[in-house]
Amino acid sequence: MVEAKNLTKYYGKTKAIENVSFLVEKGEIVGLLGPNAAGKTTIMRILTCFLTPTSGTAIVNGYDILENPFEVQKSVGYLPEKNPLYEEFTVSEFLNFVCEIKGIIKKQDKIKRISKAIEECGLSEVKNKSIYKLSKGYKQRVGIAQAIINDPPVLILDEPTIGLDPKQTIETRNLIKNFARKRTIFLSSHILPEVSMVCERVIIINEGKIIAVDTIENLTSRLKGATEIYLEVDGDVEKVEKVIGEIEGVKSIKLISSKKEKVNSYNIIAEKDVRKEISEKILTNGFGLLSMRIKEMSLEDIFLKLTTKE
Amino acid sequence: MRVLPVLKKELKSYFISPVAYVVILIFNLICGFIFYALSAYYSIISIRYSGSPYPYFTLSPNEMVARPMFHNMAITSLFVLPLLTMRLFSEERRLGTIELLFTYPLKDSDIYWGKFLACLSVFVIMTLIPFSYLFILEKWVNFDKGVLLNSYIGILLLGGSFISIGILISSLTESQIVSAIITFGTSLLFWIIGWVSEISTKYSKFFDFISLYNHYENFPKGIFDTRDLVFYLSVCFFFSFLTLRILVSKKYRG
Repeated sequence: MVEAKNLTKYYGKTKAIENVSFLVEKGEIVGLLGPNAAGKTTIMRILTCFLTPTSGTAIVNGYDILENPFEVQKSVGYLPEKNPLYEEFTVSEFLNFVCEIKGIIKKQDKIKRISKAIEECGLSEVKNKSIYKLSKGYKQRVGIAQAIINDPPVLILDEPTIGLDPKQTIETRNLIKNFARKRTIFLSSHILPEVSMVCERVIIINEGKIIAVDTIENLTSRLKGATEIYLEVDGDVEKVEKVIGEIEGVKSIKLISSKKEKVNSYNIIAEKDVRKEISEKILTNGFGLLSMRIKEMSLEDIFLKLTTKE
Repeated sequence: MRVLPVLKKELKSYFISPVAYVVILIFNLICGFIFYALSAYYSIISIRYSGSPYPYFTLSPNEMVARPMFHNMAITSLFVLPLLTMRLFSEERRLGTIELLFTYPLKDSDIYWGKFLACLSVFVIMTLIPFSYLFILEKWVNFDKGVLLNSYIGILLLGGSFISIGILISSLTESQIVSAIITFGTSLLFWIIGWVSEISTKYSKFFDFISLYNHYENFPKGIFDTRDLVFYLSVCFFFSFLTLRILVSKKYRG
């Protein structure tokens, strides 16, 4: 559905992206993840034909971005970074203009599409207000409404939740998830939990190069190699360390912090899941087991590992 | 071709903000004053010479009211048109909305001509008002209507050229003020460039030819010269072509 082939882009002499290739299948939600200035926006702008790549090309919905930009733009709904809007217009005036520009001319069609977009994005309360008077969350919804108004098969969203408060962020995320069933969505973000919540697959990019493309589970297991267990025990530090260190499979145990005099938390690295053995040992030795869980590797960890490896 | 939705959007933007109203108002205040001064002078002169056996040699309303009126309209539009063209691309670039516009399924030329025609429409509205003043005098004097129409065509051609210069400069900068100043300077330079023809000899013919003013002169006289028409249309298309090239180059340079 969206396929990038060796995209390279220079701004003057500065290299923005280099040899970027990836494939987003139909109906997938894929996240483009990277620190600021990694080249995310450049990729998005190339895919929407706002910029021309220095070399390489991309196929969007079956059309080449260099040969058939008009058809590409017809099949893409785009939410640019920072969500620029014609703020002096009211919401319905603006959506009306977007309809006409996207080739929906018939009055009945227009009314149908606009009311559908307004309903889907929850804009009915503010549809007659000028956009500059709206809160940031509503503006973001207007931005999404203009992207989906002609029901495009591909949605490209550049940092859709940046600058929103937590509640608005959750709302926007749900909105995106709702569109996911019918469409291919390609979104960028530097907020890692967001990507893990919304996306099925992530493309990690750093300094203009792709460093990993995979599902989040695969990335986690690939990088982990070992199980990390968090443990909170009521008992003497030295004894606890000794007892647990004897368990088969435990590589190391490290004291993280002590909360009260006798309650301490530890970080255990083991070859496999040894929680059962640990709890048995603790109970037989008369310590108090307060808490124990496997530490999930967060996207932050994956990301840092990947970007600092090179 | 999807020029129409862009044209509608630009017109709406003009009239949502006070800019278009203010420009039209100021333009009409100045033209109204000039019209008053010219017709008052004309009436005094015609009374003074009404009994004279040697009538004043140019005692025609076309020569004494309409022609200077159109000259003044042309100069006033030179001053106010940069204020209409300055925002067309500069504002979109600064606010980032250009990214929306250029990722919609539109051709660059649709966007350009939409903006051009919107600005030209405001210019037509702006100039039709003082143009209609002349018809107030119809009750007392007889104008040569063909000449009036010819002069109006001249104004439109001249305005179109100023607008195409203005849009080019607006596409080059993010600052509206800079855009307005450079547009004004460039237009003025093209207006007066013919003056050097009396001093220098080597390029005088060339400077004479590219002067926007020299080609305008004929219209209020009632002369419709196809050379002037072709000149103005070429200026419009030349600057439009440059603007479209600039828009493409921004895609490559980012």
